[in-house]
Amino acid sequence: MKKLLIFGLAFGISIGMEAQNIYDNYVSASWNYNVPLSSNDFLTQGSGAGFQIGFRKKIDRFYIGADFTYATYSSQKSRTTFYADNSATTTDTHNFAYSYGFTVNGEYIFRPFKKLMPFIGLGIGANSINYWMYYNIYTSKDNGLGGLFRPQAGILMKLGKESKIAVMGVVHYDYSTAASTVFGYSSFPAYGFRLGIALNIPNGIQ
Amino acid sequence: MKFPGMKSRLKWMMIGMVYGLISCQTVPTNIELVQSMLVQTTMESTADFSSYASYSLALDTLGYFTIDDPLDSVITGSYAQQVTAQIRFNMDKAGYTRVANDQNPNLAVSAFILRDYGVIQSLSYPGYYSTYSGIFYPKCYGFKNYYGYPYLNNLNFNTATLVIEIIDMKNKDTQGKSKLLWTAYIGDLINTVDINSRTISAVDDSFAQSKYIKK
Repeated sequence: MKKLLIFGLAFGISIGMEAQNIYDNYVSASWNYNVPLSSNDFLTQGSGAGFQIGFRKKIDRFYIGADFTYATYSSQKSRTTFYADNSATTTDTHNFAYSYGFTVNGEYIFRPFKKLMPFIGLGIGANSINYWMYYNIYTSKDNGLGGLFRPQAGILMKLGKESKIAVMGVVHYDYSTAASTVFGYSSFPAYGFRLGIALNIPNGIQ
Repeated sequence: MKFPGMKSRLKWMMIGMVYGLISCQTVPTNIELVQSMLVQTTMESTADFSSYASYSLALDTLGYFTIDDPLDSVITGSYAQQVTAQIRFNMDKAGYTRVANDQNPNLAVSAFILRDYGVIQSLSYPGYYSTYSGIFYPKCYGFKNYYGYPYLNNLNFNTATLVIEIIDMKNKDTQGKSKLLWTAYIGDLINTVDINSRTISAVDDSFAQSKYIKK
């Protein structure tokens, strides 16, 4: 009985040590769905054409790291007439915004080393948005460059106790100052969610 | 501590993301874009269209200019007939009477096609954002002695624009020149599908968005 107890204790400690080795660092990749929030009707539709890649390093109950995000927004506008001073244009338009974001992130983990690890965090960085409007064979374009502020909350779920892979789900709000005077954006707010995977990279990897 | 295969997995993950980056950058297809024509009109700010009663218009022919050979030439045939007939229909509907050139018309209506000239102004949302560059002045079909707008000369080849102009023949300046009162640009004539019917609709649109053209 004593031997069994010692064995059980040793096994438990070893499992615990292994668990603590998991998710010291990780890289992640996810599909990103975004919905623009501006009152500007240039872009109104949500878009599933987006993704995120990033990495995190764990320090105590925090992860720090960086994300690169990409999203395409698009809306098709039916034929309408635009009036301006002594001019007018009638056309249908296909409106696009291609958004590239880079943020430095900090996240607080509520249940470190558990199978389910909820977290909340904040990303701060830069955002470049290329605005395009296609009409017949013609195009108008503008580029906005600005800051990006992204509060987010999510959960990491390991696929097994010793799995190096976890699935992740994140909801986020983006506030970008990548403005466009041509298309009437003083800022570009959006919200969205991400679904993806995280791959553990222990500290000792070479 | 080493993890065999970890680098490989990371590499493939990154390759997948690069592929995702490329595939996510969607653009509209050409066929989606050319289902209808763009119609752009500009009006001389002091024009008073109610002060005119008659107009002249050459029926069944359209002027034609290419960037390589900007000399007067004309095209005829069913397309020219349909387009000029539709212009006439809209002018008549606005209350003007068509007369011959030698009957001192108040207005002269000119219609011509510019091939490979960039005359369309860039659009902002929801107004204009002009990007003039490389100004080029072609000769204009029919009526040469008036002040016109500059046309853009860009490298956007294999395009064509129908231009309709209304010129003031009633109030000439001291040099005997007339003023251009109104211009419509309709494009693109080469790439848009079902060119005849789309052009007819576009001609109607050009007058519909210029409701100030009425006697």
